[in-house]
Amino acid sequence: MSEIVLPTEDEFNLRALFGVEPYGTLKQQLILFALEILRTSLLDHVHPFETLQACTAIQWEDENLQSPSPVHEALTALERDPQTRPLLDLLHEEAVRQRLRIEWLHEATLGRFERTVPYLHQEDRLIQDWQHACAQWKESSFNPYETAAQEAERVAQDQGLAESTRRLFVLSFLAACRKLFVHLCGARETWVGSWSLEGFPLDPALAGLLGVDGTEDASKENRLVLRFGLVDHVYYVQPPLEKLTLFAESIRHTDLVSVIQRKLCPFTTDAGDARNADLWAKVFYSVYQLHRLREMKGASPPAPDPDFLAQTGLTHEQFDEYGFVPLDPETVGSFARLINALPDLRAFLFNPRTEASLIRHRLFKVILDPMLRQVVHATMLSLCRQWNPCVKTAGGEFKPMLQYVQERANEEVGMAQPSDAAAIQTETARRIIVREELLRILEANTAQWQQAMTTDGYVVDPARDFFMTILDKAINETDGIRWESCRNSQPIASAIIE
Amino acid sequence: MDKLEINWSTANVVAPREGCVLMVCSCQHQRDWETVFCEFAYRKDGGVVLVNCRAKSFLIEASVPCDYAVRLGNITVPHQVPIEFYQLPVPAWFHRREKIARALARRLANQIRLIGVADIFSALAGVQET
Repeated sequence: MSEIVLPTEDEFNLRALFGVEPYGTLKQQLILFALEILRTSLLDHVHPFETLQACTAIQWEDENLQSPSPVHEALTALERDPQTRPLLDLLHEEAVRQRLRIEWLHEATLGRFERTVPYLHQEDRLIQDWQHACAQWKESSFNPYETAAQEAERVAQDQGLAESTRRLFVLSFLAACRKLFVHLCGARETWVGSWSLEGFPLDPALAGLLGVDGTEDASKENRLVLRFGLVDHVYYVQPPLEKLTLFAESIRHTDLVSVIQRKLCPFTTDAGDARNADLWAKVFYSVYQLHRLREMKGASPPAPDPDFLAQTGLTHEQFDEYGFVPLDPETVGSFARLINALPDLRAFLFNPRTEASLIRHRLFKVILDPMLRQVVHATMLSLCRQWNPCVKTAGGEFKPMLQYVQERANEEVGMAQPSDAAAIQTETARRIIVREELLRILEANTAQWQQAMTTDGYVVDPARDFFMTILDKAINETDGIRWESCRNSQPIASAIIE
Repeated sequence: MDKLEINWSTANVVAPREGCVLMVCSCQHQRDWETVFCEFAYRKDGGVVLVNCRAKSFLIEASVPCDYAVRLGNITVPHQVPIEFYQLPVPAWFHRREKIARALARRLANQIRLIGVADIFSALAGVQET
């Protein structure tokens, strides 16, 4: 009996990627996963690295480490790979295992707050300015600040909060009302640095009241869009009566106010959760604000802990390379004492399954996570090179897509010269620009494909006008490679297909 | 995390090494600090353009905090504003959307309840359990 001689379609030859690189075989095995990530991203209009993070985070947080998934399978392959042996030996040292516990605890607690955007920044001052501005509008039928303050006290009273909790609740409630006032009544905010737009869904009645139902801008339909960032100054103008009435009506919708309130102050919990509200208010005043004050005084990020470097013999470069987090010795000591002082926490962190998980998480952070991004990027680039349609430039001419994006990169950061001391940095920047330009083109092309799908329910694309055609074919081909690998490892006899 | 010393007279581009991002700290009005994270920076027209910027934010869901990224696009910083560049490995939150942060926090809630995260935060905040 002969072995199977079935022809194998191999148009895109993605198996040629990563051939002789470190972990080349593992990267090849991740290509199918990368293609599926690309497909999902384009259909959802989300950046592939965000889709990748969402997928791997959920897979990683799966409590059952034995659940089959690309992430867990890849981690198992990494653990077995001889190239990973030096890192694994290091991670099994006792000093390093303790460090992993401390860094896990830091990441789950203080690390979540560090270097964050402080939306309540200077809100005390901004609310005082608002109060002062409102007091000057003596012709107004009512004072919007006083209305908001009364509403804040009423809602806080209903919840029966402790004093520090009530203080934080009222501050964040008034801050939310102030944001609504600025938006509805035409005040102008200036910013320290950057800002972002945040949308809040509205029920139909409130959307109608605010005039955002049936708007042409789909991103704003039935949504209230507000700017968030570090506010520098606000210029108030006395609003007309109908605007004041609209404001007064909107702050009575406590669901809307509370969702804006929690965006400004995550430490504000849902109504009725008094115990947690009290705890988080204390964390805000005792922990978060202190950290913010330290950052605002310009404290540099801490250097690698010298005691840990001495214990492990690591260099500064290895400290960074192996994904350790710079923590000041005081923080390390505090968390070590905390682990010993809390029995449930200690039992969890010293459990063999948790220890194994912490080691695998370090492999994920240091090796697999960057590898996945590399595979997604390289796979996308390879398919784009092979597809390479002509695109219309802003000037109206048609150019091959790869030529166009390379020229865009040249315009932004220039060409890297062999003698240029910053050649590597320039090349990195060009690579990022090329990636983002390609994604922009692919997203627009996919939107057209989706439009064609809604018209007919299917797309016939012999001319390969759509990237989705290429992507689907590559997925089928790569899935076939996987099957071929299984077939070759277990020869089966049967037919010769002519 | 490495601090990068930038000499704009010889360098046009500041890019981190593979697998890293830049953390940019600005000092505005000498009393406020803001930190943004970006993929690289380059000099253009009298300013410095920070590319693909993100700010770090966080939420608390089911008593579990989780950080996520707020996308800010490209930011141009005027030359006269002093800024410092640091290079660090891509943080876990850098590509995390708010929706995913909320789902992660809910997912971790059971585990966190078992080990008592409330006890951890109580201890950090110096709260005496009664």
